[in-house]
Amino acid sequence: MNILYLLIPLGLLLLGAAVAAFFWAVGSGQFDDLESPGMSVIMDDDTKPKGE
Amino acid sequence: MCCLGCKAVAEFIEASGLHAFYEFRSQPDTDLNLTPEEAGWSHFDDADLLGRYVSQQGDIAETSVDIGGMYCSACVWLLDNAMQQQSGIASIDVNPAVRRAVIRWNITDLKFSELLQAIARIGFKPSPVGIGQGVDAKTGEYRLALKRLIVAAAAGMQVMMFAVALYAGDYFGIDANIERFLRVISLLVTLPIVLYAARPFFLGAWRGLRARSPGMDLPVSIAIIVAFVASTFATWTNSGEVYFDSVAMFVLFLSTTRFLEMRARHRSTDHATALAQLLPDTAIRIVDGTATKVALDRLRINDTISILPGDVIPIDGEVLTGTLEVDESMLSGESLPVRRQQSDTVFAGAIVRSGNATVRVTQTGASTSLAEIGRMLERARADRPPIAMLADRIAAKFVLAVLTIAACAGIFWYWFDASRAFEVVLATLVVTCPCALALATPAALAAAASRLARNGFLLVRSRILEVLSQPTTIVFDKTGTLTEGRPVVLQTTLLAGASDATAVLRIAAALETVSEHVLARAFAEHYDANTPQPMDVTVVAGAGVTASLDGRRYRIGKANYVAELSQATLLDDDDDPRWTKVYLGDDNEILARFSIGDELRQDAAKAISELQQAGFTPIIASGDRESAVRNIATKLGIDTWHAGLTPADKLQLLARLQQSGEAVVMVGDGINDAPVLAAADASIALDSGTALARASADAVSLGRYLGTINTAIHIAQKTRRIIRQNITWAIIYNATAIPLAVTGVLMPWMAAIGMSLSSLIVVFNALRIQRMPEAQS
Repeated sequence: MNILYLLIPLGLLLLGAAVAAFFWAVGSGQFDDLESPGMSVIMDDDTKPKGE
Repeated sequence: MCCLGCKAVAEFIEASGLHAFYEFRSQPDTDLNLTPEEAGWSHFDDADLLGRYVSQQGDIAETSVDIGGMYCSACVWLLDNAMQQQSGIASIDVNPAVRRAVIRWNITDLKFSELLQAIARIGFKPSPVGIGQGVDAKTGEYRLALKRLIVAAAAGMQVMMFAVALYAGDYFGIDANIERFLRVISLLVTLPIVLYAARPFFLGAWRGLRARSPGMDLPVSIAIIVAFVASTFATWTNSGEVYFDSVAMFVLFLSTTRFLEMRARHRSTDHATALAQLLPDTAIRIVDGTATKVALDRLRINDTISILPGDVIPIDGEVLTGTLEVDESMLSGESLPVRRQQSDTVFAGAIVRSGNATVRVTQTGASTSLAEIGRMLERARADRPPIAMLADRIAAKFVLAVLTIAACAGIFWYWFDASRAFEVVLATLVVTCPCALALATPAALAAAASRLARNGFLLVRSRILEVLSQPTTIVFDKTGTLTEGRPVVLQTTLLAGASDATAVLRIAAALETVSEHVLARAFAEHYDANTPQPMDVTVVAGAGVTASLDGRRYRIGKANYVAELSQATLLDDDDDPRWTKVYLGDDNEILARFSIGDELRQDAAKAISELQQAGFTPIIASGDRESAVRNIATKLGIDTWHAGLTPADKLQLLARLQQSGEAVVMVGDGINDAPVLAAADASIALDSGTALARASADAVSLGRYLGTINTAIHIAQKTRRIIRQNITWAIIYNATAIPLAVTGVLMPWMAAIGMSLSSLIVVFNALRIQRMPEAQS
């Protein structure tokens, strides 16, 4: 079971990295609008009605 | 449809045959009541104004623009796409939550004014934000809350995982070193939760203590601190139990509800811009006979400005020359346009229906009566009576009781067996971990909010459900709330010579197409495209219209004016003051009389009588004339009504009602209602009303029906029942668990299972609200 002494701190490091990444994402505004990007996927196909 | 963006999108969808979109949308539609405007923006290209709003690096300029009239994703899509098609745009970043766009573009290709114009052309109302303001307060608050939430969630899950290992260890046995290690790790991971994620609770508790009115935050903070300190102590001394998992889950659940509430609040409140966007950004100033367009903040008192039909009056002023018909309904509740001529006062925010005038500026900016209403609103909001939510009341008592019991048990055990005293106190505190209790209300409220949103009733602050769940007084505004807020032909009376009401209405409608008068809009719905176009038209302001249809001369308008054409004497047998009357005549005789008034909302009578049956007392408080209000009150069977009220009068009325100890619900739509909406115990704004009213209310009712209020009451009552059940259950659970804990019988892992089960039951019970059948309306 001694491996736990290594694996748990390692897991926490990963957690720390994930939280840091998330903080960066929030700070750069990626979470400011949670709705329209989802819809824009559908709508972008429709922006060129003059196509054919 | 909520906005111009949607309108444009809808037209586009219609044109491309993508009707399926409507099956997927999330809200019922509302009335669209916006007019695109083609404002001139050239003054923004002046070097000093440009410097205020735009930061430049070489050719690339960057600006932040508040986008008025943007409500949803469709608007974002529209703005995004329309802007991408403009040449010179490098990037556009739209945030619908705060209605702001950050645009980077090449300023040599596209002038700032042209950029603004392009936004205005799609129908939005751009107002540039000064540079250096950085991230606005709302976005800042949102991002911080989101970070706290993610810390609570990520760390919380870890702690929970270690806790499961420890519980299992209690049961199956665990190596002492590993147990110690897991405890220390739990402590380390809980540390950021307590120090970072739970900070708002501590700050709130501290504020409450200083203001001598401790709220929910105080017991919450005590629980967090006691459990954390005790667990830390247990870890340090390697004795007793640790309850880091309880701390983590408690913080996570509470942060989640707070976060959701904050999002709802941000979405609907927008005070500063709501007030400012009522006014145009520019005005036409006249200096020595030459007119120039200037920014509104450059107007000074005693400047002369020119006012045109369709304008929103930007300042308080005195009419120098000319006559205006102005619509002050949003400011005063007066349902029909009023005439303002020389030396009359006009108010900022009023809409000019017809006429031209020059106006001397008497008050600008913060000293206008519109701004005064804004300040009244802020004061009203601050003075608002606190409503103790059922859950808060119970929770506060509950926490107090738990603390007392724990203290008593501690004293008893200290005397009986001092070595176990600490452990028992902890067991008591933790077995009562208020998870179920903390979830009881938020879960039910969240379910109710999503259920109501399906019915077109958006909750901003959930306290309104508490107020609506019991019969109380509901104060209604009249114009625009009980009524549609626009003129309608209520009655057509045929006079000598005419025989067909429909034909007469068609003629009237055709004639009125050339008029800009507000009453002319009443005829629009009777317009028939097959009627010949009016020829040879003369419009006499303040009198009526003369025109030829099929070779016959017609006049529509005031009695005298119409009678003049045929020289017929008018036998006016109708002097009912409630309606405004419009006559139609040809060169032989007077054909018909139209009674025009503000029509009741379609389901107003039904909604009001249902309210009365449910035990609610409806009251009308209107700024309109007495006759008009009395008429509506009689029609709806409302006994108590007040007419001719200013916003201040309305506040006084509200205070009087509140003094009698009742909770008062206000329903309104106008700017003049905003202070009362903010001061009432609970308030509902109608979506067709002003942004300011919407921003001041606890809930917004979409759509054209008052019946949604009845649905809301229905669901509020159901929600109250569910909350009661949940709290009862939580208390029963605790009542059984506490004695076991106090006597030292309960094992921690049993407490953990019981706690989770009771929380699950509470959540599933709350979800029943969502499955309530649709109300018929």
